[in-house]
Amino acid sequence: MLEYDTSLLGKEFDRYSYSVSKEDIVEFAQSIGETNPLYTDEAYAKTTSYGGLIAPPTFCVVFRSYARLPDLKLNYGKRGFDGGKECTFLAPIRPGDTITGVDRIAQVYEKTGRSGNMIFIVRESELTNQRGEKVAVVRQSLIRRD
Amino acid sequence: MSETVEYFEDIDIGDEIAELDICPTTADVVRFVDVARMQSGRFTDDEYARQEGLPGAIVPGNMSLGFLSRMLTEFFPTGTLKELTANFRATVPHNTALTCSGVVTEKQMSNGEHIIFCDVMLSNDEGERYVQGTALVALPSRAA
Repeated sequence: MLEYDTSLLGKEFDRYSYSVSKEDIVEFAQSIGETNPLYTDEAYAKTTSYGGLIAPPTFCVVFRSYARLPDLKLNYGKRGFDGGKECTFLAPIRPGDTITGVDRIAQVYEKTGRSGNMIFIVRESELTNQRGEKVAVVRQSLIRRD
Repeated sequence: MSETVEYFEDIDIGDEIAELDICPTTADVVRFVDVARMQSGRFTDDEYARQEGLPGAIVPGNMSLGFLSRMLTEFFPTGTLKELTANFRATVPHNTALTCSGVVTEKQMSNGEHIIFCDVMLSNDEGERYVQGTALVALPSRAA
């Protein structure tokens, strides 16, 4: 039976900012082999409805928090691994943007599988640009088990 | 099915998304973790990864996510990827032939948008699924 410190749920525990350059976007696009010139060719991108270069959707994963999760005082779960991600893309990220991330623990729940009990900790990162527009929400599931 | 789809009316439930074949090498992973600020020995150093209980250095989940996104945006060049979820079911080794694939599961018109729902996955030649997820893509409509 899962026990933990519920007072930490929903509370901001980290805030961080990154500026985005054209090179950051192009290098990320090239590192996953993107073929769409919208992500790499400024002249082409200007002819599209976006009016300029934008980042590939999953570029939002580069805005990393280096903060450790707050201690939830879990009653089990010594080993941890990455269970998955949910990304919601809300607005394009462009060169010159400054992206601010705010991290919270959104959810903690327990599941029983073939290999026993597991705890899922959902870390939510809300990313906002310098105009106050929310550009993406990334929810990462961290799985803990003994 | 064609290699790309531009309009909501041109795709149906059950249609497959054109597959994306990839084979991320160790050099590809080294480059990705550098630009994605994910430097960790588990992604680039076999010995370090083995000490963590992994079979060897692995492809980061975020890179797999990037490949799935690339498959979708290449297949739907006029579309906007709204959501992408991925469950990391097994660690992905380097230098392994991988295929991103997907199928349309639902079509919906909501809030003036035309949305395609898809199941997506990343698997190897033997059909072992490393990553399984879902995606929502907004497409233009011919009626608009």
